Amino acid sequence: MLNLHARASALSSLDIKERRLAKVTCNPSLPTPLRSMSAFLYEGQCEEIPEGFAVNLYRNGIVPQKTSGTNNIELSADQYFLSEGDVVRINPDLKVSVIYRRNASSNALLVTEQCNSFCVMCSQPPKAHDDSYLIDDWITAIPYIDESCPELTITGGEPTILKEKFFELVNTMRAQLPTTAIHILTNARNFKDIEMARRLASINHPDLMLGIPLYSDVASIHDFVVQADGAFDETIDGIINLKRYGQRIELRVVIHASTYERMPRLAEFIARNLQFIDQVSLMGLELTGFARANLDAIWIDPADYQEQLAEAIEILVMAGMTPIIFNHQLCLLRPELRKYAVKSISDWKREYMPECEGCSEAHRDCGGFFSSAKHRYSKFITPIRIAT
Amino acid sequence: MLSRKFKDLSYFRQTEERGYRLLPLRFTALDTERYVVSNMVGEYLVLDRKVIEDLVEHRLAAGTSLYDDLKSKHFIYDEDSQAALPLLGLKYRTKLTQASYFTGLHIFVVTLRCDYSCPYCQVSRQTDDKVAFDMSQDTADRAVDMVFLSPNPSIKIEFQGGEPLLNFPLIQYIVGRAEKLNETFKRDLRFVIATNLSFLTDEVIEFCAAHGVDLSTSLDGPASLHNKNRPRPGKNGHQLVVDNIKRIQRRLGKHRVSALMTTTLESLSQVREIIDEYVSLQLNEIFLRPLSPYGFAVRTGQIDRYDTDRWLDFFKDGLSYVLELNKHGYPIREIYSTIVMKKMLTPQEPGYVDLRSPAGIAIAAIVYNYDGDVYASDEARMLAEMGEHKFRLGNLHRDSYETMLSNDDLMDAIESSITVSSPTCTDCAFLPYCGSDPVYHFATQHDVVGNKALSGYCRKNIGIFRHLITLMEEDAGARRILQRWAS
Amino acid sequence: MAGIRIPTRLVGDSIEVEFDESVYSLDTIQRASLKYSDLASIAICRSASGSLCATATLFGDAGISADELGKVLVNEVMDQALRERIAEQTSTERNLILSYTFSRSKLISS
Repeated sequence: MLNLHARASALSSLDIKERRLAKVTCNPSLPTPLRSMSAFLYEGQCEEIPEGFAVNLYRNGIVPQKTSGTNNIELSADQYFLSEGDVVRINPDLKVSVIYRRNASSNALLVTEQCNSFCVMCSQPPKAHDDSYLIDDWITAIPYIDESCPELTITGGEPTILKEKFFELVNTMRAQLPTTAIHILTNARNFKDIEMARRLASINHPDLMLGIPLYSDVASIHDFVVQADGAFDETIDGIINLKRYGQRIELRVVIHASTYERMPRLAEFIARNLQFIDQVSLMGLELTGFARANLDAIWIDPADYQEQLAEAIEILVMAGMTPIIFNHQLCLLRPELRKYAVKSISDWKREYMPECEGCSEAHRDCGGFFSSAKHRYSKFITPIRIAT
Repeated sequence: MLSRKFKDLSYFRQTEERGYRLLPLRFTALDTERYVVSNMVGEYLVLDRKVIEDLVEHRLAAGTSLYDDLKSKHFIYDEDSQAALPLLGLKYRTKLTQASYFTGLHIFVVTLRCDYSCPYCQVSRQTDDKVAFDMSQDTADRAVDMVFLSPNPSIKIEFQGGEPLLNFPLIQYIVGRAEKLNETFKRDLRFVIATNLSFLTDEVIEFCAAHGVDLSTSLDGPASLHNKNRPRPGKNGHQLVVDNIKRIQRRLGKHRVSALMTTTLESLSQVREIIDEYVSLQLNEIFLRPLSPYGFAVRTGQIDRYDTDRWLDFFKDGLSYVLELNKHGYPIREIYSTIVMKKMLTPQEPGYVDLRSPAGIAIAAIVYNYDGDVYASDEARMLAEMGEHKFRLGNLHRDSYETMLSNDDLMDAIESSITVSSPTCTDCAFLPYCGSDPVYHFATQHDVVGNKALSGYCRKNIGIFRHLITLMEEDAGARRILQRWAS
Repeated sequence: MAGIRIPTRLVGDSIEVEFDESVYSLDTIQRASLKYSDLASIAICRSASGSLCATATLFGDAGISADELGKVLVNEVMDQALRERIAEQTSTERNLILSYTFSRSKLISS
């Protein structure tokens, strides 16, 4: 698990009164007009530290004899991975947050921690405080991101809570990163207002998909999982409105003790009522946040719901839909289901367990575990050995 | 069990305790013990009569899996969730949308001349008189023009007869003209020739290859049955058909030729032999077709209940054999069952002409006869040969498209064919799967709607629906195969 | 509906069934009777006591007895009555659903 947030230490006097965003570069000859938005990353590549950068970063332990000027800071050893093209936020207290990594398998824009739901297994528990600086920073940071970035995920909390700023961010991304696909994770409840759907559609982003959770075919069970009365109806209305405006939709089903039993019924419900959506993702738990707090109530060993999972997948496939399995170790899936699994855990969160020793799939097609899985994982992890 | 900030499931179930409301639903007996309950779009459940009564009398308790199923499948709703209403609206619209596309199947009777003399055929003539019994180019031009007046994005032109290959030059002409017009109209345009294959020359095969024309032929079963049903001078009809099917499969491809049977009383005891015949030719689709009333004596005011029930046995046995073949690894679909399963299990409406409400006459399929007469359906043409011209819409040389399609008899028949407003149909749980056949009911009861208790069409369809639902309930292997056909 | 007895009377090859009009309407009985028009000729009239009376006379080839016909007719009338209750209860919903179906809003683009 990579440490995206760590405190650096000062090597010289500082002039960082407010948090700053900067694009990391190792190029000492970066054209001068670009230096004020950039952080120079020193790894011994030059004799003299160039001038004019917003901040000079030094890899842990690689510090020259003398530094000149202000804003020279040494990175924590944990952030060894920082490299060219990454984007950092530096706080006055020298906390360095790596908010975008060029080499990451995926990048997420956390735009708020506020939410209008309260899911029992939420991996990013909602906070009520004003965190509007997050979206403001992202709107600022978009130009720092490479145009070649293939995809970005907008996540929270609930991004649409931000209303106008949310649309501004999407529009900025369309304008500044025209070939970057956007994946928006939202509960879609705010799209029950058709004007919101129209606003999103009017931005005309060329490659947008909304990932929307639906946990049951039964409204009261879905409402229970998200801890909000009426959420099911609002989400359905939101989905219908978004589709009226031609948006691409992925339904996300997190599988746990409260949702696994009726998974085939949910698949039937989707096949009959929502056959116009674009993808259905069936996902394993990430044991952080509330999922960890409620672990005993929601845990079920994935090996124990394979029957329901297989039935649900079959129903969706026969309906001509595209089911994808996320966050499941391959050895737990029946062989005929493995082709639906993708390696989805972000590289910085991905790990393997001792039981994986000797498995031919580990590090290859199997997505491994969340680091948080150390709190609990299946008793049935077994290496897959290819017969020779 | 959840940490303290979280509310239990029971909290969210509370509103459900306040009672539920029914959504539009219908119920009909499945057998002596069970009933089928269906909603507006054909989603169904099999329940006991007692449960249905409890349902209607609001005695069902919330929080049970029965309650959850009824709610999720849109038979009931409550204060907790009203999402059922817009979703049913959307689903119903999806099922109805098919009808708005209008006429998709255009049948061209290019000649009445035929080399066969099948006893049940109402139309063909054994003759060489081309002038009297072939479609003229002028008629063909007018018909092709009329084809493209239909707004349907998918157009299928089917050549029939007599034996259409006896007027092959006109087929070539019509295909050419339609393709030319389609450069402007840009529809999904397809052609099929319904032929007995007696005159399948290399030239015909090459033409079909060049223009993507499919072939459909009649195969009633093994030689003894086929030749008895379909007598031909030379008595070699079966051999000709079998040889030519193989020839087409080799030269054009397996999926370019299909076969249909005509079911006669002779066929009823030989369903497995008939299916074996199809399998021996490596055909993967078979349509267990009903007995045709046209040309059979029909006792006035009475259905031929006996024949319909014998046919249902034929169908059930045939379907059972088809399913068995599937279980043993030979993929073959029964077409009528496939159509019905799509209606039962998917949000789509397959659009099969004989199972539509309103009926498919003129608005789904239309027939351009060799002499320019236009008929509302193939059966309407057969009826005309028997002397009844009620469903002749007009003539291409005399009447405009608008006149023909606003024909009073047609309008009345279509309007009264809407099943939700037909007696008996309106209460039937199988309504979403069924349709109307005004021509059949007019032929057998002299009334386009008819009394369904006397209707062979109704009796046959209900028998099929009950049988398929019973299989879905009781035979897991059959269920998986039927689900696969529907997808 | 349990416990309500519907009196029937065999008269030759006909069966007479008496329905309490406050429970079963004329329309209900007619619709139910329609279903058996292939087996019997069913006439409905008002009896001396004022209740509705369905007299079913079997056709020769009916294949069931008059007594059996009486039973199935009674069952069908009860089913039909239930159907009418459903129709009454759901007419608002049906109209609402139809208004969604035929509303002018844009079709789902998929």
